[in-house]
Amino acid sequence: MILELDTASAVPIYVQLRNQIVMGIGRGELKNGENLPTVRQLAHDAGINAMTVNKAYGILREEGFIEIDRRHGARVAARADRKGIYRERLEEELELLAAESRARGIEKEDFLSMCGQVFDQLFLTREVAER
Amino acid sequence: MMLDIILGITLSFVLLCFWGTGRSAVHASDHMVLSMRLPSECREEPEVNMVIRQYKRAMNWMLAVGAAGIFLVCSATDWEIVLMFAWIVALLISYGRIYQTYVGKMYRLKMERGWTIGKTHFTILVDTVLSGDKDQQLPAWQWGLLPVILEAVALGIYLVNPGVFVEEGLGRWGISILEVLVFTALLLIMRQLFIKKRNKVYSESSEENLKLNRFEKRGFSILAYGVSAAASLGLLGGILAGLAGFWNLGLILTNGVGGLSLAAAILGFYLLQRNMNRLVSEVPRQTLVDEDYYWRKGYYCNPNDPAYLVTKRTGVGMEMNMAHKGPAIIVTAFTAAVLIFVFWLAAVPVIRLQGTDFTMEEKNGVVEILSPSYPSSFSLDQVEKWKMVETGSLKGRRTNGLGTGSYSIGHFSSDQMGKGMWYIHRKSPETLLIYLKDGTHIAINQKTEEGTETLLRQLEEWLPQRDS
Repeated sequence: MILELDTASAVPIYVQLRNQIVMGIGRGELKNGENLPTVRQLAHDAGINAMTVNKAYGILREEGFIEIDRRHGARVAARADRKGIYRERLEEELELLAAESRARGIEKEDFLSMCGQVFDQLFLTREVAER
Repeated sequence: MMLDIILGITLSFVLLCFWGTGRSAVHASDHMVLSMRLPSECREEPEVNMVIRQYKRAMNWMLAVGAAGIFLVCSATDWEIVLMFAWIVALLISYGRIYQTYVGKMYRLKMERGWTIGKTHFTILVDTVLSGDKDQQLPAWQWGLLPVILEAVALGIYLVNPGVFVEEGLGRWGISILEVLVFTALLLIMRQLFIKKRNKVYSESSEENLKLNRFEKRGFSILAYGVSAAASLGLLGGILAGLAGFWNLGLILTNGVGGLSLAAAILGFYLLQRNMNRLVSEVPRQTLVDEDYYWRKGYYCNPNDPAYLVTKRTGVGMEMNMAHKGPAIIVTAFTAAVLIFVFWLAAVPVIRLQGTDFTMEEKNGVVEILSPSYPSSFSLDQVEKWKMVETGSLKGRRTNGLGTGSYSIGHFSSDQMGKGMWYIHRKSPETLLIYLKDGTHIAINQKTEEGTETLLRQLEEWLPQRDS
């Protein structure tokens, strides 16, 4: 999987890293059990501080997306570990998104249609990648 | 005269190298012109051609002045070596300034016209499969021990038999050995630095990225190990040949194989770069990041790239990433070391010779020859005979010393007279030749005829009962 980081972005690099890896898992580009580079290797190839990579990996581990093992390094966790607390957070974030959309004049049907398109696009990308 | 010819040929070759390097900067390989990537449709833009024309004009002027400088250097008498190095330094500085100026112009033109290719330089791409590939199928670092072992053996043999090599001109052997040692050390260090460069993303396919990165790193490793092993083998063979009495063969092996190894390294690196460019151009769906921003000063300066060494964009070879302190220190230290070494080797003896002359002093039967370089001594008991000869009749090969059109100082070897120490002003008409009982000789004179006569009288005073 190709990670793309933007050093000019206002979004911190560790957040970009975290988001990219999550996107990769969601699209199926990073499979369950797939190894990720070690902190040192990723920091070296990205030209960033190892602490930044460490922070990103730490967040991913807390969120249940990856496992870190001394022997095998970091790898993508199985799907079952991820659902847990995330549903609650998802509901909170959706509540905010829905409220903001309504406040800006986007109706429910439009909102749901957009969510569906984004979700489909994610899986379309995955299918293309698998092909 | 011979020195002038050799100097002229050497400097002409150096000028040719500058011409070749300058010319390669405007060849649009991989859309590259003056270190800048341009879309192919923009290559024929009038502004682009104008910058190229201005660059070529400046380079031609530099080369013309450089060519005129060759005549100046060759026609100098005492100061040829110093002038030669000053000429090279001046050429390097001029070339650097011209290159940086026009690379900067091309970059500004590119930015004004919005000719960015691919993603901006703020983008960092990382292939997780590539990064996670710990092995990368490189030759084991232990192969680098082979040249080290060969050189250790060669050096050991040399140091255990110093007397044998001293007789044959220690300086020649010493310099040859030093050259090979430095050459192989540089190659091995470069290899270690090169394989640590970050993996580059060429496409969305991890398979392609793996193939290209492995090709480059593996190719460079094999080249570095192979060439340094060959140079070390040549050195060991030369030392053994020398010990067996085949001195000329020994020096040919040491210097010849070393020289061929250097040529092989340059050619090998050129072929590696060319094949790499070809493989990259064949990659379907290339992923490009426009890094011209980091090359806009005429040299590579990227603080986001941890690599110290990167492949040059023009010409053949590598260059340092000047964004880091390490390369800046290395370049500064290396330049300072070369300048100091050249000054010590070439300028100091000349400066000292301007103010003094060759003299002899006798104490307790031992004569000390006082010279700015290569002083020596001999015992009066060792003197077999002496005579005055015409300076022009003295012909020999320098084995360890200094020689210009004005003077010859140090160890020389002549077919008629054998080995000896020379302290000769070439323009002085006569030279005092002293033959020693061990088969060697001393040739000494002063700047003036009267001075040389004084040396003769001194010697005759010290050896009053003997005839010449």
